[in-house]
Amino acid sequence: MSLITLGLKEAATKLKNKEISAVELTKATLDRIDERNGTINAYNVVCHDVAMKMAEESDKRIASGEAGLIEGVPIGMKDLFCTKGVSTTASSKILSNFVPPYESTVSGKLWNAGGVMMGKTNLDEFAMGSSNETSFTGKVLNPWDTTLTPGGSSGGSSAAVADFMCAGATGTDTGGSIRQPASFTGIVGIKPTYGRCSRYGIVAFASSLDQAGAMTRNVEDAALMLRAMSGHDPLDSTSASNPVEAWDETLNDFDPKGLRIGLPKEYFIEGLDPNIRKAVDDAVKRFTDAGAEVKEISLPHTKYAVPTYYIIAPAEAASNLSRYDGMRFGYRAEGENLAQTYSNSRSEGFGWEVKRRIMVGNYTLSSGYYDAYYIKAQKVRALIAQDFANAYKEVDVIFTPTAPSTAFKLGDKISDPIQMYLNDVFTVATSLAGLPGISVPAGLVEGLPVGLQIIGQAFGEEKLLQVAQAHEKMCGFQMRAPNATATAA
Amino acid sequence: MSTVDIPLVEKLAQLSRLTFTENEKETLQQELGNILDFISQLQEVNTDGVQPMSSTVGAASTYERPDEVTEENRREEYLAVAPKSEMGFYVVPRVIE
Repeated sequence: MSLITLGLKEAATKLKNKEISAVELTKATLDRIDERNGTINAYNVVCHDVAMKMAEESDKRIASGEAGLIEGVPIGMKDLFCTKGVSTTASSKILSNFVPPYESTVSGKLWNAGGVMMGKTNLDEFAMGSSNETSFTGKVLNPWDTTLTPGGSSGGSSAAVADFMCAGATGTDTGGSIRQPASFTGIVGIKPTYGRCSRYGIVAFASSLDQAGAMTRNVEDAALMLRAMSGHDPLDSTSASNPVEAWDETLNDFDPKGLRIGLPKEYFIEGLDPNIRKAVDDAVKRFTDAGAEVKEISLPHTKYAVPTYYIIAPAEAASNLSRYDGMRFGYRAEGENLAQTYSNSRSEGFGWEVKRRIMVGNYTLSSGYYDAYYIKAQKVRALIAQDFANAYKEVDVIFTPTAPSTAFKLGDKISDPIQMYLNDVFTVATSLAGLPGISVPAGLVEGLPVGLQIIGQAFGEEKLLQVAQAHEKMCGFQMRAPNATATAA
Repeated sequence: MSTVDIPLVEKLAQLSRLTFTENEKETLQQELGNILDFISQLQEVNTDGVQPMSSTVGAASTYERPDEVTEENRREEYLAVAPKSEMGFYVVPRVIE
């Protein structure tokens, strides 16, 4: 039996039954990381000592019958979550020396549930990017084909899960940063409803959009991991008080018969890769064969979602990133006076994409442009949310492709920001509306995984996960083997 | 169409507390121009009578707690991550002559 291929639920069950120990599972996973991370660069930091200590504690709790929900399971933590005493960099030079004096709520919940931290996973700097190429610690390679991006911004997490360097990893999603990398690496990634997971202790990018979620190799694991991460937190004023359900236990209480699936016509435009279109059509066909109903719907403001996002997200980022001034924490470059120390610290500490977004954000927020850009974008955001509300009067869930392409070549889009931004075309609207979305593998196109995005209703994670698992069963997607060598498409 | 000139780039850089070389300013002039053209598409959307949406969280879910101090004194921990501190204070460049 290979320990590293065990999923979250599978591993938790074997650990609880004492078939395996947390220490041996952790050792096997760390060995895998030591063997692979030099190539893939999925982890910014590997926590050998912390992980072994946590695993020993897990084994003690299992022995005394106090095992938590994911006791002893190896977890990768996106390097955007503050972890007390463990380096947290957001893959930025400006935080390269930062060791948080406190723990984020979501990471704390996972450790309380028994998760074992393998390390901090790489990401685009401050989660700004769709290819994990803007990271200060270097790009991440896609384990399916190392000439390709693993997606972004949670590219270290997607690569770590797809390359068996953990059973599950956290991601954060502001405009698609969980779902697009999940699609590119053949894994499951869920962004829950805005407010499900506390933002406390997550390095802020765009606060009205940022949401944590789970990245795993199957839907059941995503349901279990999300359950361990979710819940109201008094430390986050936008945290939702909706009860957290045992989503992993209700996955089978579902019959596709009578399910109403919406297909938004604006997402299936000409120019969409026919192979990707076919993967979604095939998924829909399996559902209709099982008794589901399908209906074409309209989300008329879809084409404005990306420009709306690229006003709101940089505006919020410009404000959030004003805290990096070299005074209280982070990188400092001395100047001749206070103002110069601020700008030297920031100019040396931030990378180009981050600077560009700060500049755009301060443009749209500056007097004279505020109403024309920022307020206008908030109004269009309201229309986008209304489109979804109207659609959900007629359907239960919405099916779309997760991304317009399979994983693209490293270097292909990095010099053209607009082309990079357009890769988020199918995911940003969901974020703007605060709705839950999941990407589930829907097959291979020329040897590369392609994701189906299923969008649910606010706080409808139960139904969303049930539909996702039904798809997973009917689709029969095969994950790559750990020893599979890269195949060029 | 938005026009971005070098003085605008310099003004935004000042607001952003960022400094750029002359070459970088030219690159930004080009890139910001493209981005502003792209986001200007929104001007064609009719938003008459639409309320701006700043958050998807309804006011009803806003959480209230008793007005009590919950944070303990963690001065030492916070100062430990500061680039420069002395005698329990952050050290910043001189601001008064």
